[in-house]
Amino acid sequence: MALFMGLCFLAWLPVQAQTKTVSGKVTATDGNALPGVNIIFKGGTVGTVTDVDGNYRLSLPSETGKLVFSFVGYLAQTLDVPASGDLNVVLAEDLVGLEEVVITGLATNVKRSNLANAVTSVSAKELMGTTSPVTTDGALQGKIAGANIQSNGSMPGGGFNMQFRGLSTLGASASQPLFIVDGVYIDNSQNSTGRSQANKATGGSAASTQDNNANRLADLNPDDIENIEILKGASAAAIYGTRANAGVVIITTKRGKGGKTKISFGQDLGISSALSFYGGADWTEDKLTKYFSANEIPALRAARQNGTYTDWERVIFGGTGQIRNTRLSVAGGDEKTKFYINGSIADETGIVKNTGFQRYSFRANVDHKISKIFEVGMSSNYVYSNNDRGWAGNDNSYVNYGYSIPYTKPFYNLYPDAQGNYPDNQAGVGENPLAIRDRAINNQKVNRFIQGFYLNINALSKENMSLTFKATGGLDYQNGYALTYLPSDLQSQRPEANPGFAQDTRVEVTNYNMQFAGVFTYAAMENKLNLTSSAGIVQLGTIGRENYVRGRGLPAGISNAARGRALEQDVALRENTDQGFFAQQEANFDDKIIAAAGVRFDRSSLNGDPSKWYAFPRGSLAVNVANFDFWNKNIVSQFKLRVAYGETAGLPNFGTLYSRLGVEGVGGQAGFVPSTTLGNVKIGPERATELEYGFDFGLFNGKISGEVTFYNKKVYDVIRPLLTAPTTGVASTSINAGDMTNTGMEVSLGADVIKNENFTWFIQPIFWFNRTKITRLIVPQSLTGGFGATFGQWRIKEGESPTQIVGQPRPVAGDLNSWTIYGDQQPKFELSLNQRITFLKNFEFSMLAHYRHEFTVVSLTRVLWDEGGNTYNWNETNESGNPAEPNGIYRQQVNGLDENGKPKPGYNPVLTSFLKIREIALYYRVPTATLSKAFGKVVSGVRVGVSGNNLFRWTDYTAGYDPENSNFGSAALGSGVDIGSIPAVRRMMFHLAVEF
Amino acid sequence: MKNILKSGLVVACLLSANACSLEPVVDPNFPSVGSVTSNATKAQLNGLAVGQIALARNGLQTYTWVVGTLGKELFNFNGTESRWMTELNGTRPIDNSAFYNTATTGHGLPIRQADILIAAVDNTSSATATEKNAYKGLANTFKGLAALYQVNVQFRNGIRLNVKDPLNPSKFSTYEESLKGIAAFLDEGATQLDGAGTSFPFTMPSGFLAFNTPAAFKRFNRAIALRVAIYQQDWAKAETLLSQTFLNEAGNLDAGPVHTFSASAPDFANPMINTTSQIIMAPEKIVQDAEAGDTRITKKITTLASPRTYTSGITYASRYQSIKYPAGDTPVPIIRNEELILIAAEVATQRGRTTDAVRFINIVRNAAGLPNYTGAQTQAALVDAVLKERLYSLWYEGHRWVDMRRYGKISQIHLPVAGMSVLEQLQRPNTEVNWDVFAGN
Repeated sequence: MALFMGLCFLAWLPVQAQTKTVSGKVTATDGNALPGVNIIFKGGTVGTVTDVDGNYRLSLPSETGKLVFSFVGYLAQTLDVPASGDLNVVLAEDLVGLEEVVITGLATNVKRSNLANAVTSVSAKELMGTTSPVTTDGALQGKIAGANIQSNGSMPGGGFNMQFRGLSTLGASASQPLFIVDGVYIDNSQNSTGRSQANKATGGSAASTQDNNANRLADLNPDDIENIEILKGASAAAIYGTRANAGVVIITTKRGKGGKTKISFGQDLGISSALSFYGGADWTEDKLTKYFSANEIPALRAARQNGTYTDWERVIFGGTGQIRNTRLSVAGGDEKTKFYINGSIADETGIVKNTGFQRYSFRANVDHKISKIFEVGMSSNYVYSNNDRGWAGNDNSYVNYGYSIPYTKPFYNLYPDAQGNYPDNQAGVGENPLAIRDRAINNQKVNRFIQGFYLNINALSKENMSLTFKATGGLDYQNGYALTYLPSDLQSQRPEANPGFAQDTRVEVTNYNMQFAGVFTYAAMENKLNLTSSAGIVQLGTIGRENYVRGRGLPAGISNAARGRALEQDVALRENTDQGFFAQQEANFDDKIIAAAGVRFDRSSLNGDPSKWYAFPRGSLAVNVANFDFWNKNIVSQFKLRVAYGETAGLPNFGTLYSRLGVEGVGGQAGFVPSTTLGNVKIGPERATELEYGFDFGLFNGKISGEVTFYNKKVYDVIRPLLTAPTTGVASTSINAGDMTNTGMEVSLGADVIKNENFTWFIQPIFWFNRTKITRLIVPQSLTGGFGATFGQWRIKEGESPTQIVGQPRPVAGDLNSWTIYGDQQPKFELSLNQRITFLKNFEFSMLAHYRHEFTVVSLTRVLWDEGGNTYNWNETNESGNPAEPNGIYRQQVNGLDENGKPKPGYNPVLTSFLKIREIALYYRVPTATLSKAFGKVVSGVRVGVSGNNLFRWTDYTAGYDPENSNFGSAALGSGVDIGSIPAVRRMMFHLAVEF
Repeated sequence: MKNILKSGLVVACLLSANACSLEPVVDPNFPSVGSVTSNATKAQLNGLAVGQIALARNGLQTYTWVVGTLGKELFNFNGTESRWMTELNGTRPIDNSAFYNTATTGHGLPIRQADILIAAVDNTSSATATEKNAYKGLANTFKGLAALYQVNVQFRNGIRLNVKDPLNPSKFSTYEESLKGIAAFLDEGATQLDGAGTSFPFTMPSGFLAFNTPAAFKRFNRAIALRVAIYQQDWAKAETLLSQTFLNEAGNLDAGPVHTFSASAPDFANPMINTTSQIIMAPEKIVQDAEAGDTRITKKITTLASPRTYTSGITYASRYQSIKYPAGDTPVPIIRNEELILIAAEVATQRGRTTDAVRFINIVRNAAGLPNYTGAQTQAALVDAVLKERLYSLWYEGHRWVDMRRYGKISQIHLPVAGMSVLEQLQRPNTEVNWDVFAGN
């Protein structure tokens, strides 16, 4: 981006008198030539870029002065014009991104070294350089200080819950950050498919958080991404107003840089497999007699005799998934027009047969300079994604194999006969998981257009001032369709009044946003003081439509929902419009003191009063102490103190305003019935303020650098349902009910431990934690989430953390608000360590380890396995401590804390930690010399490598497959519930990348 | 700076031009409660009346299964939810935040519906005074029924009798006061039905075919009031009420209003049918203790070739499976002639009319293919006889637990698995407790 803007800038420089010519070569630390480096004569208006071999030649207007060498991803250098001879320059890689430009306003940006907020940037290399994650959110796990990114499960296609700096809502507003791709506000919702109606996990309603779907960020091809910026809190995101409470993720996709047309081809081939299994307890006649039913002994004997005794968990979850990703991009252009096009196919099958994710993405980004005044550009992305999500998670009809396998005994046969008929499972289990795997359908497809545009008008461009008008906006249109299907002759369906289930769901979501802004820059005091003023207006909106037909009582072999005997259908509409305007003033004194202040005003039709404006001020100050003259830069080369304050808000969810009268029928007539939820026409947004402060430092000329940040994010007027006495017929009404605070600390360090021509070792440890506390609550304390206090729920209580998990037993008998505290869903702290080692010039090894310390999981997975008698250590007695009582029986009777205050190994919540090797890779770059010998000038780069994703894991979690499961999808509260899960998955890949 | 000022002005102008353009979004999905609370049309009132009848099925499944399990007259072999077998049978602590509290809270909505219907009727001129009485009579009858279900589950915890303002409900009344309040709802409904003319202004759904005039519907109202009276042990009032109900000694024992079901939306299928994951079983003891040839058993319960074993959290096997609700459109009785005859027997027993008591008992026994009652004719023996006949006649209709409780015989309920116990009542729901803390009650 910087290069692109630099080139634009260079193109309109006026011709000046030339008095001297300087030339030389620019190389990287590894000795390779750097083409495309920007060289500017400081204070003047001349400049150039290096050619393919890194050489440059520049005519200067004076004999002396300074030259600035800059290149994306490298630390800029300012050097004196030599009296004579060549000026050769070696640029060091900018490992912590001091030079990168960070988008801070709606129309302006600032250099990282001048930034007052801890804005995390993730480059394409950091995102995709190690391994190929399926989705963008998955690729961010462990890479962002202050982020809690949790995978909801391991089905292909992702499904992630992303929380920045603790909690910004308690569920009544957007729980996920705002995603902006090239200026387009994109949809990241999870669209319901009706699966939890098919398996009765929930009753009735159209939308459910228990469908375990992918969030729609999965549609974005991570390979298209040039850079991601994460505005974690209100102080950084204030200019985004009412949409920014959960943070803002700004994604910039790759664009053409001009010059020689560059063709890049990439291919990944890989496999995935289960990280662990959970069952396998042996079955004996004695076990059946004592704890199950002696009637099953003949079946056990027969299976032993015939050799058909089978571990069904390994049959279903022991498969190998295949990964095939192909990418082809072409980038290039001339001075006027630049383009980037990318076509990619991501194709991944899961460890369970008939699950998988395919994404076909096509992108074209075009920038064109009409004249010195007008620039236009667009970003077009079409995506088709196709996801078979399988059947895992909560269930009330034994349909999900994640739920039936824990109960399925190894001595019952499940394999189909020669005619393809699946035998019934044991009556008490109720369904054959193989039949579900092979015959049931849970498919979701999405067709999506994301279209962004911009028009820049350079109204005024003088040496010390400029005025630019920027019109930006875009459209995100998605049309999704889903089919959920259970054939009518399945064991679980036959006893139903109307056997068979099919739901055909159509989802159409249109998001649009438009912005018009003006930016005025002015340089004063001999260019030492730079002032940037910006102001603009914004409008955005969403129109959503979900239709479904649900058919029960299906004819044999028919999956068309409309053919059902008993039909239900629904049309659910939503729409909202937001308007805002903003103004911001930034001042930079010689890169020493950088200050900014701004304000945004917003209103939205989601608020009780749609015409009311809410104000969101911000202010920030950064002082680059090391840039002052008194500072000795020998040891501490960079030292910046920074403080920032800002306010944002989160809007009430659609529908909060309405007291609905539903329709229920009886005896062939339809009647009106009220909803148990009362609308609140006085509802207002949840408002957050955040004070963030900290310091950045660099030692030994940037060899060691660090960023230390503290924050205090307060959320006011948090919307909570006022849980009314339900015997009144009203269960709740949403009100602005309380306040909470999030305090935390984020530390990122980076160090070149070893750096020489043959060996470099870079390490980047990140440490962060967050504590949330409800400071005011005007509604009664309540339990929410989960499946009741027996297994653990979230307690919303003043003075406590909202992510605290409590449950039975009651420490004070008879006190109906007395609960055992099992810890907090938020970890005590998180730690990650990124390492990159290059050796033998062309080899690169990298590894990302991620540790999460002591967080609480509500697990029902072990409960299911224990009830089924299959848990791996069911037969052992080490936990019961009684040789006559197997663990599996013991745990079903036990809950509470032990004498050390640790949760017992019963059906209660679990306190756990994990260490995962998120990413690990080894790459080899074929030397340029070898390439030119083999292919001449045709092939400019070849890189091959192997990588792994979640390859290793250590955890003390024994209550299920993996502590990272979430049955309830992406939610601020109540997401960490492990039930009916499938094993966590490790992925291994081979990579080939070729550049032409 | 001048420029920025200028563009600021432009922005301000743009905004003021569309300052009024952000209109509230009217709910595109549903009509609103506000649309019926004043000047409701006749069609809207009729819609609310039908909704009242539809909502009488709210919480029915959970209620019937919870009280059935508590009274050990049935077990829900739910393979995906072991709390039916553990917590409700006393082997794990009872949870006032779990799903099964719907047994209490599910009856809140019908009460709210009744209050909304009554308020709508009082605040419109589109119905005549007679018609208004018809709507209110219907509303108060179902309000009384829903409140009675609530107090059955909560027992000594009592219920809130006035919930017209959901944000300012009354405090909990004692059990005795609650029953008195419920009787008052039903009595008010009866009076209103008396002044409701000869027909309802709306079409009564098919489950109430024999009760589709205000006079006939009042017999149903009085039958529920009779239930309340025997819970109150007000045998004199019960005696009076008996004649006002649809009691018919010579009539079909199944006569009475029913909840109907249909799988087609906006109706729904009978939620009590057996599926793979929810299977209602009868405890072995109940079937084994039945007299030979009792057709009430064979009508409602089938004997499996081999026992069905439940092993989640508790191990128990039974061969006896419910066939009471075989299909999605099988109706569920609200109150039947058979119950009224057995109440008549109970009232006669309590009033010392032994011969009458035995006569009523024998009506039911003969219909079940059993010989006349030959046991002792003491009051205690007859009470036991009535309780036994009620167990078999009203099995899976939600009475056993309440019956044993009101006669102080909970300890006599057979516990098939060691460690089981019978709870006397469910805990007051967590949300109800918290509301009182919040409201400072």
